Amino acid sequence: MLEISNLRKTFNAGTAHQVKAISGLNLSMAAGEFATIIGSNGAGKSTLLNLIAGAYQPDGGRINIAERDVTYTPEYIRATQVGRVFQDPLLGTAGAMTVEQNLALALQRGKRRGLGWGVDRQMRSQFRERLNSLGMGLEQRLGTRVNLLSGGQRQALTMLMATLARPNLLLLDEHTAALDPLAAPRITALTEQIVVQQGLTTLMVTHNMAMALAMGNRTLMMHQGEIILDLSGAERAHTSASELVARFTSRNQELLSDRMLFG
Amino acid sequence: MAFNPDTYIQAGATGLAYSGLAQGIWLSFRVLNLPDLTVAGSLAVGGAVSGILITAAGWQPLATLPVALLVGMLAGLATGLLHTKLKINALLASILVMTGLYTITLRVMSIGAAGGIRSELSLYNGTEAQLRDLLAWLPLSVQQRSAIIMAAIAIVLTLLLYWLMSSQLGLAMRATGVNEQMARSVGINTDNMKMLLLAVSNGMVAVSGALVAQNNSYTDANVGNTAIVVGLAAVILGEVVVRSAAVGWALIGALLGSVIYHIAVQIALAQQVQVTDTQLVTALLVIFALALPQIGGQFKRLGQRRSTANLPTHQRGRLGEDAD
Repeated sequence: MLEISNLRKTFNAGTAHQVKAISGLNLSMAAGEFATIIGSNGAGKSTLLNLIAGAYQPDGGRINIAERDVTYTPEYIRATQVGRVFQDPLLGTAGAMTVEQNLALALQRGKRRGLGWGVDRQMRSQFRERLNSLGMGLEQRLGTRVNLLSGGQRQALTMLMATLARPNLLLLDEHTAALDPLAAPRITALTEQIVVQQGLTTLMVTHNMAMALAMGNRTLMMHQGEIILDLSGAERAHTSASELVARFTSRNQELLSDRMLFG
Repeated sequence: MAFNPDTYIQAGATGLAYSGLAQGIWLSFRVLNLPDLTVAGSLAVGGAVSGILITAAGWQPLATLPVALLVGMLAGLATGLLHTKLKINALLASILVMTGLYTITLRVMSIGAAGGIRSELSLYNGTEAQLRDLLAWLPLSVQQRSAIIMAAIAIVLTLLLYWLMSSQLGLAMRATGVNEQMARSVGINTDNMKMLLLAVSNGMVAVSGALVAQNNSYTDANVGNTAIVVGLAAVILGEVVVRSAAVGWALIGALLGSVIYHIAVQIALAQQVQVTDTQLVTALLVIFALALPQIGGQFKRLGQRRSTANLPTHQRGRLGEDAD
């Protein structure tokens, strides 16, 4: 479903602030695979998602989604294949618009937007049904402006919006990190429910090692713009969170000292 | 001076003619969140195009409105292209187009002029068709007939705009203004939506300019000078009156705000206020209205500081913060 080869991205190239964010990254994901991504700050996790979504243009390499080369396709066109949920609950929804208007915008993903009513009765009943499955009482608040909702409700709505028109690829960027301790597990459970139900190919960035192993069926560790660890199957099943943390820190130090010696 | 209701009906008709300006400014200022000065040029060019078609080509006034709409839309599109494709700062792009439009307005007005360039145009020498002539069969005064015609056109335009802004395209345009990142992530071409919205906004303003010219039987190249402040005043007055951000209500608010503003100006003029003073008063009114949330916030914070004075220090700051 997703094929990335030799992807490269450098910020501020040629200046003193040059940052090599992604350096020759390769990744292949089969349809229905759910991979979690871990890595320290600055490892390139968010940059990778932004490159896949098309918010950034790469310096080189190739990105294929569902057998189509989308390396330089504009973000709004790629959005027909990619659903996204951001860390900041405010980013994924239009705050000044109502719940049903936000959902209608998401429903039209990949379709031509014309002069037909933005929200009609048929859509409303569909939205009510889908919101009901979230169990947050949002089905009663179709006409409420989204900026009156809580962060958790907004993030649940964003999850629904990202998956309403079934995307080929779902990108989750630490989407529970900004939520309170009550809302975060609900969004986590909702994520598993939606991803499993729809069999979505998913990439999820997280800082929580336990979550990285518990969710999905593959775990990737990133460091300095490369994937340095790729766990799946039995190997992943026998790895505990503390082992992962140990590998994480040792690998970081090892690479760090390598760079210090040879870089 | 004796009270003459027709004076105020005429002011109401003027307000209705200017309602398209208020709605156009609402589109760019409130929906797209972008101060678009192109409207100043669009208002003038709309009046010039309509005026010249009526006087020099003998067109029916109503038939000139679609032409004004088209010219205004092209102006908005020009600003949109400069902003989205050439990446020129939006405010600067609109100033550039506004400046260019001034020449175009003068050129259009001067078509068929005996003495070269002219910067004003009379739409009335006794023979031209007038919009209000459509109601010549009604036993009403000239002002009353004007007001009815202007109200009818304003209502039709408001309904059309309501339809557009409630459509799938309308939602996409609004999302672009509210959260561009989100708009792109649901597959909206935000550049195109900005251009479309600026085109519609300026189209409305140019139609408004045509209606104002017809209503006054006169237009000049400088009618746009006060357009932005007057339009903003109408938008803000409308928001005070309807108190709803829903699209339908906001459009009705802009319309009502425009009528209220022009009647208020008429009342002020009747109280011996000089015509030349209205601009400063309007500007101060808009500054006050725009500053109100800030001033209100200061007062609120002051009150909260007092009421949290007895709480432990670490709790004081948090109570004062807004939830969103």
